[in-house]
Amino acid sequence: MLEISVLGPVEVRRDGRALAIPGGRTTELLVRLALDAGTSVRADRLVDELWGDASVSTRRNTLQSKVARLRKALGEPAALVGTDDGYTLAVDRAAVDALAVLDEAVAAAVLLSAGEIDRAVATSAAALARFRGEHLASAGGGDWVEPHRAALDAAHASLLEISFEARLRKGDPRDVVGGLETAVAAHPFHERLWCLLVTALYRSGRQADALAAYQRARARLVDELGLEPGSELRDLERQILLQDPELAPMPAGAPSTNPLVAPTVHGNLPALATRLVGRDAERAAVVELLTHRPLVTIVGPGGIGKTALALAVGRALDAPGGVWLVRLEASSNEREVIDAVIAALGVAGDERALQGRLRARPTVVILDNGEHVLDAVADLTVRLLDAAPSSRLLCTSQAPLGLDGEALFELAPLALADAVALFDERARAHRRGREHAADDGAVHDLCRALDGLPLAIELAAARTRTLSVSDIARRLDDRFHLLVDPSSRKPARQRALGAAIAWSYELLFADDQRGLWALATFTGGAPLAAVEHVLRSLDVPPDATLDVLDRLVTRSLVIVDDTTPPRYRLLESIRAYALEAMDRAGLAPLALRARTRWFADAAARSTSGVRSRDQATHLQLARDERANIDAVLAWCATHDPATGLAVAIGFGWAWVVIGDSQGARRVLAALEAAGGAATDRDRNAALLLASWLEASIGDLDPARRHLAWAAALAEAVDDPAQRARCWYHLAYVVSHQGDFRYALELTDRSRAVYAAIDLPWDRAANALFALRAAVSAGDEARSIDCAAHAEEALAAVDDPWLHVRHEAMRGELARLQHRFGDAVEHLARAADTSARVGYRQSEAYQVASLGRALCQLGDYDRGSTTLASAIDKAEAIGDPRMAALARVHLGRVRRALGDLTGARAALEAAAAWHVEAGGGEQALLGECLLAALDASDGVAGAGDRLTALLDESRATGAHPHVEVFALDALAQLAEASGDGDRRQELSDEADRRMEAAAHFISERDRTDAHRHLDR
Amino acid sequence: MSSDDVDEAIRRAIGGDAGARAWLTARADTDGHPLAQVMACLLGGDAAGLVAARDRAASRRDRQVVEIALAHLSGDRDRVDALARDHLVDHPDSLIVAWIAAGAAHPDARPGCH
Repeated sequence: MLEISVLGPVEVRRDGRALAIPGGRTTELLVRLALDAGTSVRADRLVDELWGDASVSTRRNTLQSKVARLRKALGEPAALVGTDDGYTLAVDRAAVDALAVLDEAVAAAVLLSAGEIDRAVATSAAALARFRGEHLASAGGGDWVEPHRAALDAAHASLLEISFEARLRKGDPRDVVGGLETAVAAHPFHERLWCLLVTALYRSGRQADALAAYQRARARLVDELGLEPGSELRDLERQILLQDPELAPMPAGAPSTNPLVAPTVHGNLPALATRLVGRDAERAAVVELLTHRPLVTIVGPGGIGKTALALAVGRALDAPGGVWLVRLEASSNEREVIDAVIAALGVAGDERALQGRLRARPTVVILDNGEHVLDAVADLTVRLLDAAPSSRLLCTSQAPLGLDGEALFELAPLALADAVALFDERARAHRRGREHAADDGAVHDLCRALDGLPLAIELAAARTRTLSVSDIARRLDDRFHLLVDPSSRKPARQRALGAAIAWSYELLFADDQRGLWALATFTGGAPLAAVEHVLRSLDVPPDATLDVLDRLVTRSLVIVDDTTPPRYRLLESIRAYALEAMDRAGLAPLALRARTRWFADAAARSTSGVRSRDQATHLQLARDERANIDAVLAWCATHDPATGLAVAIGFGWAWVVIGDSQGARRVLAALEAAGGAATDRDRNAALLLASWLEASIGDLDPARRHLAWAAALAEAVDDPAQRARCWYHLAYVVSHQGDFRYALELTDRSRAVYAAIDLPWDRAANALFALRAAVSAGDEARSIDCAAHAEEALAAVDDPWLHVRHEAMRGELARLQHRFGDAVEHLARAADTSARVGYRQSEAYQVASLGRALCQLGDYDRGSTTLASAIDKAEAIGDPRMAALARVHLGRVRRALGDLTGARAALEAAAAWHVEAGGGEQALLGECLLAALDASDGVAGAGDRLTALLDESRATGAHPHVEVFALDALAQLAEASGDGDRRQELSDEADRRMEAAAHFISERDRTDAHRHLDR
Repeated sequence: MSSDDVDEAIRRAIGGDAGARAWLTARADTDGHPLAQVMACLLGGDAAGLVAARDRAASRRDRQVVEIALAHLSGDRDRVDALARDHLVDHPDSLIVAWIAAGAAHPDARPGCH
């Protein structure tokens, strides 16, 4: 049996005997294949990743020879299998230590959350023991390694947390204090480890030391990152000050419910509305399955309690990336399934970003109610688990996904005793203190007749307020007879549920029945105002709405989601029944049109609302109603395309501010559906929005195409306001491509128009983008002018989004003026506000700027850490454009710190994205730094690349910092070739250009210049 | 015509007061008070009139009374029984519904046949 260790230096053993593996690329090839053990890796991918710098023919031949050498070294031809288009290392995941630790990290987390402390301690200890020095030490410096290293870093940190937490709960807290002190010294910004240390000190009777540890943690975070501790750490301090009894030690077997030991990312599971009755064994069984299997599906008919069980399982689990519920009832195709997952996890990018997010932090995702989109769920599941094998997917469905490796858990009805207990508990709640004549026999008979189906039992119990159990049983019995259809192939259980729903429905007043119809028009629930609007169209007066909903809730027909404001939702089986009933009554078209009207009205208010003090309310609506808005757009596409376009345009700006990666697609689809019905003004608005949304996720080519179309329309209608808007939208896009001079020219044009037209928001936005372009161009005089104009223009608008950006730009201007202390202050404030308000994309950008400012203040270590944090934040929301920008700066900073491997990895990752996206902010700088690294490594052609980059930068004059780096590197090459005069000439020019670049980089960044001086 | 006047008339009509019945029938036509209209329709077995009353009823309570009366006139005893129980939990002073419920419990004693 082969055992392959790649976590540290490579070691391969066959039946316990060590094998000699040739070094260099053969070892790298082994590591690469081992990290995808059991899966075919395409040959072209292997050559790209391992021999990216060689010619095509050299690469192919080299791959074949390295494969032959590796096969021979492994001594077992079947271990390395060639397929049509690639190679597979045919070993189990468990035989590769780097994969085994990822799986063990998840298993340990599951065990801990299930209260299996001893097993959690043993599993985490065994996994931690596998780590040996630098992760994937023999994998080389290719950028393909970075995601794997990041996943292993996350797993290592997670295992440390689990190990300490389990030991803290198991034994004497004094035993873990020493280890935790070492851990926080190694991971000073890891707040969860600080939480555990503070808890351990407190439980050791060292209250003063616990508070001092909190202060140490806070000082590190504030001083070095400019950030206050997160809510967990702050709450912990408060609990200590209050001597909260919850801080007392937990029993070793208790499940993890203490907020102190909650995972770094929590997820989105709803608060528990009612207690889950029974199902203890089922919950334990599914938790156990998830410790070993990445995909588990809970299968069973509607109403049997699949969702409730999945939520109970989710609550029992911890995962470094959190536990997330994705409701799929509103999704009708593969794209909508993917959108639902992306939206639930708060990822701002596309599926690729989602995969990166799951890979970086092992996560549990519950895909709920997927039976109507089974193929889409199955396909997505395969892709997600391929990309992130350490994450776990828990599906609920009426049918299995039918995938290899899927663990099925068939959920049976409640056992009679549990069914009776459920009925009793719910009946007591509904009767609220009223006398309840116990009739155990009748309750048993009723629960048996309802086949132990929890939903049917809940519906029956909800009627005990006015009907006796025997009355309920008699009426239900009548209903069963009515439903008996000898030709029906439906299982008895489904008939029982259908009977219970129909019976419950028929006992409703007409207004309440219409309440169900109104709710059924919404996908995934709705807020009160929307339900009221649709109910009015069904002739139910507005002042009756709350009463109707209240009655439906007490009859267990409607669920109130615990949100602010509350949302009302139907279970899918009840929704289906209500839709059918409404259709029979011939009122479905009326109700659906009313629903559309409500969203069209909300859309009409959205943009002005988002640009006002009420922004939070409008953004929340756009976030919460994503599924409804999609449903409205789909309905409009065939029934009312003009309204659909108005809805998409209306919500478009909210999607910009939220960072919704699907926004552009929605707007363009609505525009296409509208066809000739769209006015030129609407078409212009739609194209501008689409281009902005595209640019914000890095799709620059389509953004420019759509802008060109919008500009042509503005010219055709000769509307100066539209023209001005096109110009500053284009300024936003070209800034992403680094063309700040052109951006300034464009904003100048718009500024002239806005001097004559009263459009305060557009004027302020334009002023802000002008300031951004001027600062990025390094033009201090223009920046000062733009800053004054922005200050004045911003005073006339309330939009918090613009104001936080303004704060950040004040920081950037301070940087330009070498006031680096002020810059850190402004940028830290902007990043903090963005984090609190939820502008996650802006936050990532501002944290990156803060990292740069810290370096300019002279603190490269903190700057480097802050830039790495910006990359994390950008990746967490799936913003590769921002991650690439932060990587360029991190590459520069790591190079200045002497970490050439780290610098190269960051720069290569950024360059790969820039190539794919067709450019990006600071792409030129990234290329130049990579060429400079290559030049110092003696890579052929590096000098020519530097010269070309220098020429390009000189041509525009907009990138003096690129000129400085290119000139310094070329000076080094001249020195190496013995041309001292040329070296001096280039160095002098670099020094001169440094004057124009000093706001952007510091002398410390000029490592090539220092090398010469050191020599 | 105040609601108190209507309640009093309903009470007396249920007690068999022919004058009160005539008063309610007259007021139902002229003033359009929903409960007066319901009572008049029940007394006259007028289901079509109840449909008009439903359109006029604005309050949740009045709409429920109309609906129970409609179910009663259509002979749906099970539904009358269930809806009346529901209604009386929230509105125990609802004279018409209590009367209907009592009548529904005795099929041969339809209120309109008193």
